[in-house]
Amino acid sequence: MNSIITRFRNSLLRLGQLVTGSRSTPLPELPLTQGSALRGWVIHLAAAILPILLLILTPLRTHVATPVLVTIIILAIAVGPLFWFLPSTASALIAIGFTALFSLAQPPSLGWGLLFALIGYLAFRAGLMASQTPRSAKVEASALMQFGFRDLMVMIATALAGGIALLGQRLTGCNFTGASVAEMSDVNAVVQTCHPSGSVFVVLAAAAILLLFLGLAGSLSFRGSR
Amino acid sequence: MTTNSPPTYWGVPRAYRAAFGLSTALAIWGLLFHRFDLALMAMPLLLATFMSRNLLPTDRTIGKFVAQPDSQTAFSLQMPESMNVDAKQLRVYAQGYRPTILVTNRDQVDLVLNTKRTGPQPTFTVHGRGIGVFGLLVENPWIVTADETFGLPNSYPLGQMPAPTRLRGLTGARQSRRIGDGGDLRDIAPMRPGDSLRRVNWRATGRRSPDLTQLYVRRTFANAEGIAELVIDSRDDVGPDIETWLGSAPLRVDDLTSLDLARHAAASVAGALIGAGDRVGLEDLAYQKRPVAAATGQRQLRRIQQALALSAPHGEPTEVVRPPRLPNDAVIYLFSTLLDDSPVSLATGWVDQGNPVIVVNTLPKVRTGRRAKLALAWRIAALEREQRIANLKSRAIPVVDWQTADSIIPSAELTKIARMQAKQRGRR
Repeated sequence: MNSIITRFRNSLLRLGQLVTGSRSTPLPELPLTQGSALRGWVIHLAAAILPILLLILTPLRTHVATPVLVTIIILAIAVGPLFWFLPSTASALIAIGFTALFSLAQPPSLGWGLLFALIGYLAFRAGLMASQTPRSAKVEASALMQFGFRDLMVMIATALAGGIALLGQRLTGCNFTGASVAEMSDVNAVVQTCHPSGSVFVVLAAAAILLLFLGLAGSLSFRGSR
Repeated sequence: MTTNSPPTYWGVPRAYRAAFGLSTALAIWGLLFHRFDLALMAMPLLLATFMSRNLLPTDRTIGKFVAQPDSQTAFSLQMPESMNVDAKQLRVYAQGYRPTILVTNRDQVDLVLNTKRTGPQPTFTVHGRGIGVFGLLVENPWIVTADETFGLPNSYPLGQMPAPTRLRGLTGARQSRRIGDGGDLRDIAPMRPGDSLRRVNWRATGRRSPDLTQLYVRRTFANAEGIAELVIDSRDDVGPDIETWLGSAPLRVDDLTSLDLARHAAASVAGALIGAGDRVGLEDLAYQKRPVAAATGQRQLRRIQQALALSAPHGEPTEVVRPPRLPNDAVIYLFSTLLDDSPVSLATGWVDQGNPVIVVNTLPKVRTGRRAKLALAWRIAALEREQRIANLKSRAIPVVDWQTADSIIPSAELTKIARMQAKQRGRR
């Protein structure tokens, strides 16, 4: 709490100095970077925006009442400054938890699940980097690519698992609840027959992809692209 | 899930436990209740936490500074190559620079301190740490500091310099008014006991004494040397930014302080006077225990440059300054900011003793900033200072600004003073 107050007070002080013009000439910065670099505040911005995006997208998948939707959006935007002043993974994890709770009340949707997984993961990574990197820091593009390479692998694995599950769902016509997709999505549709092995097939395929990925990642022990 | 414990010097942030807990809960929920969408949401976090525990860093990333050849202010920070370290976070501190934070994955970072400052000064301090895979392992911070650098003042070329009015000795580069073994003709006089036969001027003898009853010799002016004493007022060291005077704000690396200007000025004056063959000594008002005795030659110039670089304020500036013991026949150059009355009383005291004094004002052009209180304080201080300069000028003590708007070297002004002194000497 003290940290938030201190940061808020410092920001107000800086703003006041900027407005009154009493801010002295800033000290020069050491030329340290090689090639292009990103400022830390970009990561902080991402860490503030991505959880809000997740919070806003979550109710959009359902037909919630407009006042509820508007309330959620206003609340999500209202907590934005908090995420900016106190960057951490907590914001992303809270957003993921909220999304998971909200999704429980909805019928399962692999497409939305995949989208939430990717945005949630990016929000978590941005929050983690923002908590470790001050706003004035310079993050070299090569270091970002190193981080990005690993994140890309994780997201590709997630997307593959999700894609296989979707494909399996499409091929077998089965959801993981054991009911048919058509039955769940449209009660008036023709009820398809769903073989119980369908869901098992999808889970096994996703698990195989996961194991393959983990084995690959574990054996590589890589340092990433240099 | 396999969990390897990380090396002791690598810490696991709370985010790891939170992410692992949430993702595990979601995955279990999803699998138990056939909600693959929930399991999918947990999957990237689970993968990241799993991989971060299986791709552990092997070593620490503690860097070390290596000085680059032919440079006192350029260093390379070399960090060992260690497996499974995605990046290093470096917080670099250097005097006069903003602390800079860099996230890099290079094993070597080159650092150059572009400073104009003189004297001993710290260079770089780096607080660093490695960031493991996915940022879910963070190394305990390490600190390394580069060697100090030592900036010698420059000796800028100056023109004609105000010379001492009284010369001493029978050797040197200057010409005295006494008769002696010099180069310039003084007069032709009858030969007296002690005169060398080589000095007999046969042409003058033939003209004035054709019968050779009296020999005439050629008499010359003796050579001599002057003594100059440089007195540096290093009791205070203030920069151009008035906000830095209390020490609460750091000085910019590209700003010269009053002491830097004093060092450059004293080194330049010493270079010019030693070049003219004079003996030059140095006194430090803040630290009078180790004066540099007057001597001449290039070694003396280097000695003075070294002593100047080492001069620094010692504690709070004292109000009462004991006048250093200086030769009576020396010309005194006083390098001061004139921010208090002590230099004025010293200069007037020396003038009363008969020493010619030149005061070199080493206060840089002051920036008051936009803070009204500081601007007002500086206005009062500046008025007092102007009064002191006026007092000095009323006692015919020239005050030379070392840093002017046009140039940083007041060569023309010093030449003007030298000519004026020569003219006054001629009148006498």
